[in-house]
Amino acid sequence: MSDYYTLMTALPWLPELEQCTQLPISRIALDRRLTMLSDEDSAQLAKIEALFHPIIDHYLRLTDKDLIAQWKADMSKVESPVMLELINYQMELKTLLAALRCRAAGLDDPSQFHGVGRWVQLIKKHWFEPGFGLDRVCPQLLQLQRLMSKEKPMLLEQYYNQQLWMSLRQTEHSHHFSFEALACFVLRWAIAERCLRYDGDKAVGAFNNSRSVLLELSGLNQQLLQGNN
Amino acid sequence: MDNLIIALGWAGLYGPMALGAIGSMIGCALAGQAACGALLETETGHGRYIGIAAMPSSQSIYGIVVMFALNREITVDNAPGLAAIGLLCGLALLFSAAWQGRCCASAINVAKIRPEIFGMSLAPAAIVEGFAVFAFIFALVISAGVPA
Repeated sequence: MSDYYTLMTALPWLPELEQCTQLPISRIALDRRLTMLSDEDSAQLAKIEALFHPIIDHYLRLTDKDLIAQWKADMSKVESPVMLELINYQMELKTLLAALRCRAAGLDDPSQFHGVGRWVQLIKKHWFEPGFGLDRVCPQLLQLQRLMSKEKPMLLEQYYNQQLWMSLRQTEHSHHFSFEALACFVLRWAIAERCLRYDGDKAVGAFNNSRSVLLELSGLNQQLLQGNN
Repeated sequence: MDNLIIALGWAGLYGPMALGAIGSMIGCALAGQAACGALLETETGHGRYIGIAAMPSSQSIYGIVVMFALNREITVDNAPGLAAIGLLCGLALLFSAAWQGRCCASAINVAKIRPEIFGMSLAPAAIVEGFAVFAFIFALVISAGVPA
């Protein structure tokens, strides 16, 4: 009961995702704090992290069917029912996104579609309906659809992250000083880190643009080209 | 049978003290662990975290006072009364201290993030303390009716 009291209060406050301009703790410092966990909890946390934030390269060569089989096998190793529910929710959102993308890409045979969660059968059954017959059951679908039709992948990703963030925060707030609260914090930290990395890419892009403009303005580009010739 | 009744009387006499102390141990340990975590994360205000962590120790003091109030020669006539008051008061003190420890841990966690709400964050712990005080005061009042 008391294992997580020190650890939870040793973690910093993570602001809301949209207000998070920098990480309040580095991964190195976070990992140092997490050494307070028992070996079993550390192993569980690693499994949960791997499921929630998978390294894409590990799955690139797998087909959708194999990926789901692998995911189910990994899920069976997670012990916390609360965390299982959260991971399931994440996969259900991913399934919705995948269904929307497959249909937009012209997949006409719903039996070729693979996904996980409560809605897979409904999605296949109502493949040609705009909202897969889930309009009332899944309020997130409409927004996902809207953003996808606008072809704004960045906004779509933001919305997806926001949904995950809210579900994690809600669970964290209802499970004080527990393994679940800790796992939710770590998963939220990873979402924030990923989002900030996107901003980092943007910053590199902006830097490259500025560099090109400045080089052009100063005439250095032409001098360099002339030098090369 | 008389021996059992007398033993219950002794349990009632020492119960508030022992159970209150057990509750304080649990409560102070939980709040203390939270305070230790907060020390890692903050640069200032360490003293008040430790202060909050000591809040559940008051139940031990209440237990001692009730024990002295109940202290008298134990006979078959007064042992059942002593057992009922002492053990029930002790249980109330135990639970209040343990749960107050949780409230204190939450207060530490919140005050660490927003120091300006430090006072308000202590309200739940103070309310729990209030119930412990009820159990303590009325144990004293009731103990006057137990034959000496």
